[in-house]
This record gives sequence, C-alpha cells and structure tokens, in this order.
Amino acid sequence: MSLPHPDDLQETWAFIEPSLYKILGTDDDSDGVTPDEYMSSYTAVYNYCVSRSKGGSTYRSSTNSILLIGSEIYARLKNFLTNYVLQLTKRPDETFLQFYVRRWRRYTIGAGYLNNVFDYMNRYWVSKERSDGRRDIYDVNTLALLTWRENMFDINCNILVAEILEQIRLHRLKQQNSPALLTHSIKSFVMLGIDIQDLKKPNLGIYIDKFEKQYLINTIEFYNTESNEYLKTHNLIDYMKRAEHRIADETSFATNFLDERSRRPLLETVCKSLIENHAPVMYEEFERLLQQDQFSDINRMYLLMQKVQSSLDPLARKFEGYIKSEGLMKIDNMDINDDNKGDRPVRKAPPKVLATDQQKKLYIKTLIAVYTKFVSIVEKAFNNDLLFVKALDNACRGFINKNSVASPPGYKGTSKTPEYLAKYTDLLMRKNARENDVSSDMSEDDVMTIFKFITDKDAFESHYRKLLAKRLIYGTSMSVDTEESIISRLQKENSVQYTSKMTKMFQDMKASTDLQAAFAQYVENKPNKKEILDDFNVYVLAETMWPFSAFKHEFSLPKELMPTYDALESLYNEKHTGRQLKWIWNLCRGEIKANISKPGKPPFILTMTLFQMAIILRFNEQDTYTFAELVDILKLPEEYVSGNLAPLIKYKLLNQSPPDAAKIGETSTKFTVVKEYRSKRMRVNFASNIKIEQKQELEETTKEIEQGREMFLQACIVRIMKARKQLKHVLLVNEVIQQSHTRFKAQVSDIKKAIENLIEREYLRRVDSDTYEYVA
Amino acid sequence: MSEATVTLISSDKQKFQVSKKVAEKSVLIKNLISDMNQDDDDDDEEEMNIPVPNVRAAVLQKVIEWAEHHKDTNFPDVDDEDTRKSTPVDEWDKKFLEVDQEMLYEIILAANYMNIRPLLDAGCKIVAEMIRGKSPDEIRKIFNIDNDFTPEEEAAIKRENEWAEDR
Amino acid sequence: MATQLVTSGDNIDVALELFEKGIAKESIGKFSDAILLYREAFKLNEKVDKVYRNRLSMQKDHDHSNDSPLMRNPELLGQKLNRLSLTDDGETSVSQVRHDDGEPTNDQEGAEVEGCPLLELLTDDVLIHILKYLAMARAPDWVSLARSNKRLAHLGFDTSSLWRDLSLDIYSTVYPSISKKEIEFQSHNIYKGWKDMYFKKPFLKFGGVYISICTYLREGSSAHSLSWTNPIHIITYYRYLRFFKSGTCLRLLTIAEPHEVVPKFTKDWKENGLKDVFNGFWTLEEDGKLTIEGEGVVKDCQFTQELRVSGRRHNQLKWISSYCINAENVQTFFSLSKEKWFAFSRVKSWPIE
Repeated sequence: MSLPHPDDLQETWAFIEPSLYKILGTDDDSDGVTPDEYMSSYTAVYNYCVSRSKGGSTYRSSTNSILLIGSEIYARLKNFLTNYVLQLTKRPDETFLQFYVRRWRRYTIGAGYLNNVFDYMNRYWVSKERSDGRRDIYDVNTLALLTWRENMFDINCNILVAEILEQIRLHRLKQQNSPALLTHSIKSFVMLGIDIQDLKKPNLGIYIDKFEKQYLINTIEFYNTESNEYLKTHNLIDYMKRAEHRIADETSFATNFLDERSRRPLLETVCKSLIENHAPVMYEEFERLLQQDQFSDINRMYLLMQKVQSSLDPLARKFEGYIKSEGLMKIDNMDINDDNKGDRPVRKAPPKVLATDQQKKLYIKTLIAVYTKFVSIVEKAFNNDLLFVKALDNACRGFINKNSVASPPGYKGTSKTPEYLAKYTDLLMRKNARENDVSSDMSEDDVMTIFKFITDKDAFESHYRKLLAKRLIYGTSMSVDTEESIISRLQKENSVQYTSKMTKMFQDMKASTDLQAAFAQYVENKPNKKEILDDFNVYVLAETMWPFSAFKHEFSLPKELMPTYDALESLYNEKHTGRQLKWIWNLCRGEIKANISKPGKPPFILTMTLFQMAIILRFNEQDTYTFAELVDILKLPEEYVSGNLAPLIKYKLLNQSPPDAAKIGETSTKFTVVKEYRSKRMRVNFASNIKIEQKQELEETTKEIEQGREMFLQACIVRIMKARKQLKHVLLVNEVIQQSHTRFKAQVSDIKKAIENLIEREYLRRVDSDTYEYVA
Repeated sequence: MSEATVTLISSDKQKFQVSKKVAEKSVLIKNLISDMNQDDDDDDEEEMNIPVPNVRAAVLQKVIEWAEHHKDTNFPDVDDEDTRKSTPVDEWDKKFLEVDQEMLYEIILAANYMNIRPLLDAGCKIVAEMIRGKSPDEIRKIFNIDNDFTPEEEAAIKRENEWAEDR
Repeated sequence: MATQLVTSGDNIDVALELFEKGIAKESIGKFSDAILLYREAFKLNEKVDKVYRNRLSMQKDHDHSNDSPLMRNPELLGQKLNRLSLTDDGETSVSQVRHDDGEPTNDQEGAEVEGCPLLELLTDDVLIHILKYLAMARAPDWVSLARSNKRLAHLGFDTSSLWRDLSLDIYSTVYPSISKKEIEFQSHNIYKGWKDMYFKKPFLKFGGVYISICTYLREGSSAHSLSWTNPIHIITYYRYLRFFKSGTCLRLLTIAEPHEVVPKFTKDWKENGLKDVFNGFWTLEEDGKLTIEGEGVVKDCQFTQELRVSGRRHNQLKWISSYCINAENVQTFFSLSKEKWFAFSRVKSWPIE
C-alpha cells in the first residue's frame, strides 16, 4: 500500500488508524498485524514527524509549526486510546473481573507494540517536550496506561476490588480455580501506579491505597471469624495445627499473587488474627502442656507465637514462673531420708538446716535436676531461643538462691546455697577409699552449673576456701589436678581475682613441702635428732589467704614435742628472719601408736588432734586424771578440753566417772585410760567432728563474709568517688550495685552504712541533701 | 545449524535475506520481530518478510553490510553519553562511510529511521569531522547552506551564544 | 499528462542516455559523477529532464519514494547545475566518468563541485544529534555550525535537550555532591529551563586558563636621590589558574607572559621548565564561591584563596579573600589591594579532560 502524504495529518491518521485497532486488539481479535502493516504505520508516523523538518533552505522562524507536528498526532493518539478504552464492553457471559483481565492483558501487550510503532515520536518529540519541562506528555506506553487508568480503572475500581476480594475468599476456601484472574488483576494495580514525576520509578501508590488496604481489612475479618468459629468446636492443639496451615497458605499466596511489599503486612495481619488474638487461650494451655511434657505441642505453640513478638514475651515469662515454682516445690518436697529421692510430695515440713553431707548433696542434686529438666525443654520445645534461655536463667537464679532450704522463714542471713554447694564440691574433691563412692554421681559440671546462678558468690568463695584449706592440710584431696581444674573453671567463670586466695594457698602448700624437705635435712645434722619427729609435716600458711586464724588461747605443748617445735622455729627463723610463726594448734593432728591391744596383736594407730594427743600422752605417766588436772596441764580453756575429751570417751579410749555426759566439764570428774582397747580396725580416728570447732567455724565464716563485704563496698565507693569527684546518692548506689554484681547482691542498707562509715572516716563529705564529694 | 533469517524488502522492492542477529542491530526490526513473535505460537522457521519503506536498495545494502560487519560487536549502552562522545570513529566505519555526501546522509537517515544508534553516531561523527575548525562561512559552502541572517541578526546570535564555546 | 514531444533533434537520445546514466550513477551514490553526466546531458539538450520526467510519469504507479534525492527535488537539481556551470573548468571529462567502474568517489573536499545540501536532506533530529555531539566534543565547531543559518541556529541554540546534556555534564562535574535529579529540578523550578540555567548558574571552565594581570608602580632609584626626575617602574605580573575536572588545580604567580607560560602550564609543568607552580584543591559552591586550598610560597602552611565566579557567562573570577594558616593555626590574610580579577582564556589545543 502506498504511504500517505507526510504533510497531511488527516491522511496519515486515517492510514494508521486501522492498524492501531489491530494492534490494540479488536473485539474478535481475528487478525494480527502483519509486518507490512507494522512497518507502514511506523513509517507513516516517522514521515509525518519529519515532514516539515527537512527540505528547503528557507526556515520558518515560527517555532509553533514544529511544535504542532508532534502535538497534533499525539493528541489524536490520546483521543484514540481514550475512545478505545471507553468502548470496551463486557460480554454477557463473563464477570466483570474476567472482562477486565481479558481486556487488560490484551491491552498491555498492545500498548507495548504501540509504543514501538510510535517509537520515533517517543524518541524525538516526547523526549524533547519532557526535556523542555512538560510533565503532561508521556511516552506512548505510559500514555496508554494512564488512559486505561482514567477511563477504565478509576471508574470501576470498586467493583474490581470487590470481585478480587471475592476470588480471594474463594481461594481461601479452596474453591477458586482461575489463578490467572488474580495474578493479572492485582498486577494491574502495580503497573498503573505511575509516578508522573519520575516515570522510571516503580510506584506502589495505587496498589497500596486502592487494593492492599482493603485486602488487609478483609483478611482480618476473615480470619477473626474463622478462628473464633474453629475454636468453638476444636481443641487448642488442633487449632494450632490449623493456624500453621493457614499461615503457610497465606505465605504462598503472597509469594504467588501479591507484590513483594505486601508480604510483611499480610503476615502480620494474619498472625495477629490467628495468634495474638488467641494468645490468652494458649497461655492457659501452656502450663498443662508443660506438666504433661508435651514437647512437640509446646514447640508448635512456640513457633506460632514467635511470629508475634508481643505474644512471645508473656509466654517466656510464664515459662520462667513455671520453672521457678517447680524448683521451689521440688525443694519443698525434698525428702531427706535416703530412700526417697524427693519426687513424690511428702507431707513433712523440711528441716531448716541440713545436717548431713548426704542431705546437702541431695539438695544440690535436686537443684541440678530441675535445671537439667528445663534445659532440655528449652532445647526441645523452644529451639534454644534466647528469650527462653534467659527465662530459664532468671528462674534458676531465683529458686536456687532463695528457697525453703536456702532461706527458710525467719532466717535473715545470706542464702545457704553457696554453703551447701561448697560442701557438695568438698565431697566431690575428697579421696574416697570406701566402697560406696559417694561422688560417683557427682561432677564438676554440676558444680559449675549451680555456681553460675549463685548471687552471693563471695559466700561460696569463703566456704569453699575453708573446705579447701582443710583438704589441703589434712591431705584428703583426690588429686591436685582435680582441685586445680575446679579453680580454673571458677576463675574463668568469674575472675582471676576471685580465685586469687585459693591460688596462693596452693603456692603455700608447695612452699611447705620445700620447707619439710629442708627440715628433714636440717634435722639430720642435729645432735638431738632422735628426739625430733620423723614424718613431721609442717604447713606454713599466709595469714590473710587462709581461712584460719592463729590459736588465740594459751596452750602448753607436750614436752615430747618440744624438740621438734624448737628445731622448726630455729630453722624457720634462720631462713626468714623477722617473720613470726603463729601456731594454729587447734588444727594440728597426729598419729599415736598405742600399745594397748590384745596380746599378740599389733599396736593401734590412733589419729588424734594435738590437744587429744596432749591429753593422752599424760596417761603414759598416770592412769587417771581429774578434769581440773587436765586443764592445768594443758593450759587450755575448759571447753577445748571437754570438747576434745568427748570423742576419746565416746570411742572408749578413756572412761569417764561419773559417766554422765553433762558432767564432762566438772572439775572433779575423773578420766581413766583403758588397759586394753577394742576396735575392729587398727586405725581409729578420734579427730573428726569436734563440735566446738564446727560451730565456731560457721560463725567465723559468716563473719568473714560480712566483713569482706563491708570492706569491698567501702573500697568500691572510694574508687568510684575518686573518679567522679562528686556524685548524687542514687547514682552512687547504682554504680556500687553494678560493680558488686559479680560477687554478691549488695543491699542498699549496707551501702548506706558503708557511706556513713566513710563520711565518718573523712573519705567523703556531704555536699547537699543528696550529693557526696570525694575528700582528697 | 542454520541461523534464523528474515527478509528485508527495500522501498524499491529488492529483497535482502539476512540473519536475525544482523537484522536486530536495528532496534526497529528487533522490536517488530519480538512483537510479532508474541502473537504467533507457531514455528519461527517461517521466513518473515519485512518491508523497509523509507530505505531504497542501495542504501539498505550499505546498512546491511555495516550490520554484518558489526554483528558481534558490543556497543556501549544507549544512555552512556560519555563513552559515546569520546570514542573516535572505528577505522572500518570510517572507510565504510567514505561515500558521497548524499549517500552518507541517506545512510544516516536510514540509521535514524531504523534506530541503529551506533551507525547513526558514526555517520554524525563523520559529518562533524567535515566541520572541524571551519568558520560559519566555510561551513555554508561545504553544505550548501543559505545565510538567511541579516548582519545584525548574525552578530546578535554570535554575541549571545559564542561564549558557550569556552569550557 | 499531455505528452509533449520535444522537437530538438537527434541529440535528445544521446542526452537522455547521458541523463539516465547520471541517474544510474546517482543511485549507487556517486553523485559527483552523476552531476557531470547531467551537465553534459543538459548541454546537449536543455529539456532533457522534462522529457525524462514525462516518460516516467507515463508509467503509472511510479513510486516517487524510489527516486533519488536529486530526482525528487527538481529545484535542487537546478541549483546544483547552476552552481556547476558557474565553476565549470572543464577538466573532468565525461568519458572518464562513463567508463568508471563503480568506485565511489570521495567528495569530501568539495573541489569545484560544491558540497551537498545538508539542510535539505537531513531531518531536524539528526541535525540535533550532530549538534549535540559537537557541543560536547568540540564546542567551537558547534557554535560555527549553528551560526551558519537560522534553522541551524534554532536547532543548535534553542534545543533544550542539548543544553540539558551540557548542563548535566558540567554541573555534575563542578558540584559533585548534587544529584542529577536535583539539577533537573533546579532547571525547571529555579531557572527558566536548561539554557537559562547554563547561562546563569556558575561553573568552572577547564579548557583554558584564568589569567589575572596586575600592575603596580614602583619607585625606580634610591630614596635619597637628588635628581629631579625619579624613574618609576611599572611592574606587570600575572597570576595563572588552571582547573582540572578531578578537583585539583594549578596556581602560578610570575612576571612571565601568557605566551610563554600557557603552553607549559600543564600537569608536567616541572618538566616543561616552569617554576613555583603550586597544587591545590578547588571546591565550588552553588552561589559561585570558589575555594582553592593547597600549598603555597611558605612550606607547611595551608594557603587558601576565595574567589567568585562572575561576569559575562562565568568567565571571570573576582577576589574575595586570600590567606594562609600555619602549623600553629595562626591565620594571616593577604592584602588584595593590588590584585585584579581573573579572566578566562581558552586554549584550543587542550583537551578537556
């Protein structure tokens, strides 16, 4: 066909119009455009656009003529598109949505072709106009979309959205079977969101405003209704399963049909509807599930709630509460009789103080058991979610430090748990010669587990150090390696400073071993070496590191031991002039060979405290002594004498007359040594369980802890004030609490006391009602 | 293995069979082919006949020759102004475009019409070369341009815009 | 419609033959040859073209789009032939042309055959394309081309997209922190379009040197001279500034004159024999304030000059202040009383890198 005259707009337009129809799509869509028609249309447009811009050396100075060329054909095109869109009609046998999608798909393809056919106008005229600043001229594709928007979309938006939502509803009921309808119709919202300021930027304005908003509201309604209905007729477990399905459904719906951007709001909405709204029901069930160990259901609940952070927090708190009450209950029900491990609740009220080692071990074991049980739940049911790990930690910290055993009603001191844990560790560390290895079911890990939760760590340190000291001195440690292993773990868990005293203790032990060797050497060259004890183990302990204090009272060392005593004193003074040895008589022990066995049998080896030895040695000279005489000989305070006598009597080495236990301390009571001693074993130990020691020890330790804290608080305050120069009361208190956190829980009243003390000692000064100042 | 081909038909009805790859150097042809293919689901073995109404055989032949030569060349992006401006004309292109001025212009017009940017650029650069260092008067002679300014107008235009040379 | 048989004798056939050959030559692009053949044909018979056309029009369905440019435009042909006859020197012979075997001739120089009618053949958008290329690559040629004719002037100086390309290029170089979008926004909202912006919004020029010429008077002889007339010396010194797109610049103060200095005033100034050229960094603010910071005459001090882009079409730099800061942070201002503003001077041989 021959091309139209390029100068003639009318002709040009008439020429291309039929092709444009074909390109956009006629109603029956019978013919496609041929390459010939395509090229002819393109060429006609091209020719028209360039027609007045070449040829002739005369130039029309009026710029209008150039302008008009593009704008006229553009106007015609715009008109054409508008009319085209307006005349689209729905067939009687299709829904509006079907009509819309059918037409939309064809139209967008056609618009693309049209854009190419008018490419020259786009390149030349449209871009020129836009460069000149005109924002109402668009490339043909955009023009087509805008035309559709104005004439088809805006007018019918409501029906369109309504039908789309209906389809979505059907989809949710699994009754929808033409996904293409949804895909394309929703996509049209995105594509029509053209930003006329920046044509290249994708714009979701229309999508969000006209579709997404409505969609989300619709979704909330749907799921609110559905979930409520469902819960009326189903139990929670089934509901949760259903909720999972629904969430998965909606997720895949979002991926397949919606714009990326809707994912998050949609899931939030659905989760709110399905989960957050029904959280209370779930919390109720939660405790039951825990009691019945239904881990997979708990996990299911957790996974659901995880999607709504605000719902997950209460769950964690509930979990924490549950653990705590479980812990406390287990302790309450702990049966200190050997046969009952404490699982079954026992009616007896627990004792306030645990007496035996076995009981103390049981206590710690019970705590560990609770922890272990819930650690595994955290792993299995909560996937080790940090929130729940934290809940566990908080709960443990709660019930481990404060329970009916650790802080019984009426008791005002620091928690007893550190003390019991120290004892537990002591049992673990001790040598076990017996058949029933009491520590076979104990481990370092147990110890560290509980240690982490103790708030009064300084208390643990004191108790532990005391027991360690005994083990070291009496040689009852299993091995140096195991001792050091615990210490290094404690160090790691807390700080180097924390274990510094213990470390020093080990050093002292080593130094003492060296001293012992030196002593043996020294004695070799002494003329009276026969009088000096073989096998004499002396331990020199640094006064501040060890939990012992020098023996405060008088004591008359038995003459048999004097040479040894003198020899050591002189050796030590030689080595370390200026230092003074303070003997801790009350801790000394020894072995005495007693030739009081049945004839033919070997002599007994009796282990005794030094004081007991001092008593017994005198019976070499005399068979009987009165209490008063013994006191005189020993020069010890009376309770020491009676306390040391008690085991000798109990184990029948001495006979008391009168035998009444209450009369043991009376001046006239007599004590006689037996001629023949009976015992199943060769070795007899009279040294353990001196009651007076125990009571004193506990008091001492408690005092030590208190004093330690006072000093620490004071040092802490001074340090803080030195740095800050001036500080308000509240801030100072907070700082102190923070800094003492790893050792113990500082009480505000104690801090106040420490401050007052420092003010008295003129380290601090009050500035106004609530501020302190450091005094240099 | 034969490449797909199309037939281009010049305005004077001459047919040129070219491989698709070559033909698609022209964005116009490329778009047409892709638009046409969207409709047809049947085999694209069928030879497409594409008329090129505004280009006569002699010119179309030159254009095809150029496209054949450059069928594997990677040209920089259309929007990459900097590269476009600074690269000199390819040696082969230079020789290729050593034709009469009128043919040169026809090739340029064809490149513009068929939307073959690199060829259009090359052609324009060649024309630009002709102007290098020439005064307006000399330019008028070369290109047969009528001076339709009055002396006052000419002076005004010069005065107003000349400074823009200084960069 | 009526067939006019031209009674002009036998030569009409020869003339037609030549004429047709001319057409053949034209169709393969050999226009100059074609012209020569036409000329000969016309010489033989003035009406040869009319006869030819009549014959053609007798064939119906003749598609004119096939016609060669010269055929389509009879005016054009006439013009060409006119010009041809004016400059005819008879050297080129027809026979040469007739036996030519098809090599395209190079018509670039024009020779006695004048050039091709650019304006008639090319469309506006192609012309704009050429002008844009020139505006960016060789600005003086752009101006020359645009000045040749009203239409070209309109296309070359009034096409907003051309100024847009220039503006985007220069302003994004000179104001690195402003986005292209911002520049576009300014062009429509603060200025009256791209051209207006280019004329009004300041920028720096890289294709040349800014030169400031200062003179001052100095007493010649010693102060206590007893002579009646004391010679007065006029000292002229020059300040040179050259800017680079990378953000650096060169500064020089010397009594040497531009023709000596300018050719050597490049990054290789040392090799070229110049002395005391200082390096610096420049920044430009949108109000035209130019700040140069860098080394100077005293070691370990930072020298700063503040100037303002001004004047007709941004080709002047006017002084605001000049100072230096030493290592102890002490600031010393230099007096500007003897200083003069800088004027831009293009150096054609420098590429604008």
